[in-house]
Amino acid sequence: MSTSFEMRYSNQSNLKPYLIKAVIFHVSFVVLAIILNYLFGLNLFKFNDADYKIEVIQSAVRVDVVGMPKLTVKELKEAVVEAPAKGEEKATEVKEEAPKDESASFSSFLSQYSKKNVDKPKGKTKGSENAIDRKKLNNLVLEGNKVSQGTSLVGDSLKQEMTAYTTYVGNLPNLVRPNWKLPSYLMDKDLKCRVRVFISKTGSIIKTEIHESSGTSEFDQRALRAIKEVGAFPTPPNEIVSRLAAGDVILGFPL
Amino acid sequence: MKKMLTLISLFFLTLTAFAQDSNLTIIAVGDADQEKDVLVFTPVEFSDGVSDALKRKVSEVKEIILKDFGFYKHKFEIKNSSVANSYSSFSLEKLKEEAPSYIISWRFEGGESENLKTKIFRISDNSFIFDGSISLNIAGEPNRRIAHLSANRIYKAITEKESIFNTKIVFVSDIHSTRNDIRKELYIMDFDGERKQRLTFNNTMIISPAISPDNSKILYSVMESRWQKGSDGKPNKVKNLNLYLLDLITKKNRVVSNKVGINSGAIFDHSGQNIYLTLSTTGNADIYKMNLTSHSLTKVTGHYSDDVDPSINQDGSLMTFLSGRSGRAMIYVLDPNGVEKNVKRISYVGKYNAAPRFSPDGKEIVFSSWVDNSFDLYKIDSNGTNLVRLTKNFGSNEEANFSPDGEFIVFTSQKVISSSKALQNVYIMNRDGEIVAQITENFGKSFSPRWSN
Repeated sequence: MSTSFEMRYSNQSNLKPYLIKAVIFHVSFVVLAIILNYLFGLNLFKFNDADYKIEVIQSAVRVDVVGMPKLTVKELKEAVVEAPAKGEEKATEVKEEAPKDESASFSSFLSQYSKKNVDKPKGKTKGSENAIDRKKLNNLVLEGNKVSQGTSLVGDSLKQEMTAYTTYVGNLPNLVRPNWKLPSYLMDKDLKCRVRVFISKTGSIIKTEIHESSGTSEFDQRALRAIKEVGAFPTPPNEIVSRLAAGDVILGFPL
Repeated sequence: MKKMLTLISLFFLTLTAFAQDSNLTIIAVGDADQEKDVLVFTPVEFSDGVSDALKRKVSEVKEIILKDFGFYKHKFEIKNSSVANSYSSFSLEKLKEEAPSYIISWRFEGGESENLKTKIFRISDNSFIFDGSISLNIAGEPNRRIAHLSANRIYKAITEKESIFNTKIVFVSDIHSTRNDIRKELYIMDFDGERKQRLTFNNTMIISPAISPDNSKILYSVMESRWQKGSDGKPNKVKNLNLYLLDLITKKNRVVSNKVGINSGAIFDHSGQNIYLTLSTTGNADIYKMNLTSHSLTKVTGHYSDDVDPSINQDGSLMTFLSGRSGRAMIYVLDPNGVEKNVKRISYVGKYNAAPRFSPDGKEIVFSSWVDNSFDLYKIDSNGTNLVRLTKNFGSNEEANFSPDGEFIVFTSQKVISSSKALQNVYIMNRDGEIVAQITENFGKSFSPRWSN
C-alpha cells in the first residue's frame, strides 16, 4: 500500500507537463469558439428561452354569467378607468378617490343599473390586498353577473400562485395596454415581439431591451414606446425588488 | 500544482457563470388597438379645358368616395384638405399641419377616356403605395358605381384588404303592401342604401333570403297555399312555406323545395353547390343538407325538438343553429358533416334567442335575444365565452348579419311610434355596436337584410 502511495506521488512531477498541455488545449478551444462566434455570428453564447426558467402570466377576471348583460360594449369601454400615466402618483389619487366604505361603492354601483333592491352588506367587505385596480374591476360588473377576482381565464385553466410577484407583474399589462396601438398596416400580420423590462425599487423603468424581435422595426419600436409612455410603474413590494431590477419581467406583444 | 488546479477551477467557474439559472416571467400585454390613420384628400387637379359639367361630375365622385370612407370612421380620420398640391411634384410641407398618415392626391384628365388619376403617399416610409387611374366614362356605369370602385382601390392599397364599398345588401320590404293586401318582396341595394332595385314580383310574402358565395343567386322562402286532403277526405287549402332560388343573371326563379310544411331558413355552403335548410316534413323541424343539382337530402340534426336557423362558417366545419332541446330557444354549434355530430350548447341565458349568424372568420356569433319587451343584439364567441351586448334603447333589433370583411353588422330595427304605427328600417353598426348609418328610410317596413360576399 505505502508503495503504491509512494509510486502515485512519486509520479506527480511527471503529470505537470500533461496538465499544462490540457489547460492550454481547453483555453485554446474556448478562444477559438469566441473568435468563430464573432466572425460568423454563430450565436454560440446566446441563450434561448429554454435556458431560462420561464413562467407565463395572464391577468384573469372570472365572470359567472347568470343573465344577459345589461351594459353594451360601448358602455363598458366608457366605464373603464384610464391607465395611470405615472404609477405612483396615480395610485395615490385612486386612494383619495376611493370611498370610505368599499362595500357601499360596490353595491351602489350595482343598484345604479339594477331594477331590483340590493341589500347593502352589514359589515365591511374584506378588500383584496393585491395590486389589481378595484375600480377597474368594479366597472367590469355586468348586472346579473357576478364578478370575482380569479386566477383563471374563462374557458382556460391557468393555475398561478397569487404571490406578491405575480400580483405585481400581472397588473403591468393594464398600464401598458392603453398605449399599445398599431397603424392599420401592422395589424393582423401575426407579428410578435417581447421586451425585457428592468424596473427600479421606486417603479421607474431602468431600461428596456428587445428580448425577441418581431422582425419589423416599427412594430418593435411601438412596443417600446407603449412601455415608455407609462412613465413609471407602481412602487413594488420590497421582496420582489431584486427580481424586477434583474430584468426578470418580459412583456409580450401580444404574448 | 495547487496554483495550477486553482487557476483551472476558476477558469471553468467563469464559464459556467454564463449558464446560471434565470427566472424570467413573460406577461401578455395582448392585442394592440388600431391607431386611426389620418387620410388627407387633396383637391382634384384638372387638366386644361375640362368643362364645368365634368368638374361637377368629378366632384360628385369625390364626395361619394369621402362618404364611403366615413363608414370606416373607427379606422380612419378623414380630412378633405383645401390646400392645393401639384399632382406631379408633390409637396409634403404644405400638408404637414394635417398630420397625415396617408395623402390621397388626384388629377382629372379630360378627353375621350376622362381619367381620374390617383396617387397615395404613405408618410411612415415616405413612399407612394398606389398610382393608378380609373375612367369616369365607363359606358353604362353610374357615378356611384365608379366612385365605389375607386374608393375600394384606395382602401385596398392602404389596408391590403377588400372594403365593403362594392358590396350589396339584399332585404325584404312591404312597400307595395296595401291595408288589405300584404306584399313582401325582395330588394337589393348598395351597401350605403342607394340604388334600390326590386328583385321579385311574386305579390306574396317572402321571408328569409340568403345570397350565394358568388353573389349570383338568392334563396328565399314564400308563403303559398296548397291543396291538401283533410281527415274527412275532402281537399283543404293550407299554407306552405316553399323554398325558391332566384338567378340574378338570368332573372329566373325556380322551386328548390316544396315539401309539406316548412322549407325555409336556407343558406348556401361555401361551395355554393349545396344548401342547408329547415324542413318539417316529418312533423319535426330539423336541419338538412341538400345538393342543389340532385336535390338529395342528408340530415344534420336529429333531435326530437325543433332545430332551425342554420348558419355556417366559411370553411364549412362548424354550424350554429337554434334549438329548443333545452326547453328554451338556445344557440348551439355542431359539425355539419354528420348527424348530431359534436353538438355543443353555446348560450345558457336569455328568455328567447334567435337568428344566430357567424362572423366571416367563424370566431363569433351574433344573435338576437328577447330582453325587457324587445329584441336586442348580442355577440358571443363560437366557443361560448365572452358574451357581450351590442344594442340597447334602440327599438327592437333583429336579424343581424356580418359584412364580408367582418367590420360591420347589418340588422333591422323596429321603433314603435304609436299603438297603430311602427317604423322598421335597416341599419349598419360596427362590430362593437356603434351605429354607423341608417340605410333605409321611407321604404315601407324593411327587414331580413343579408350582406353580399
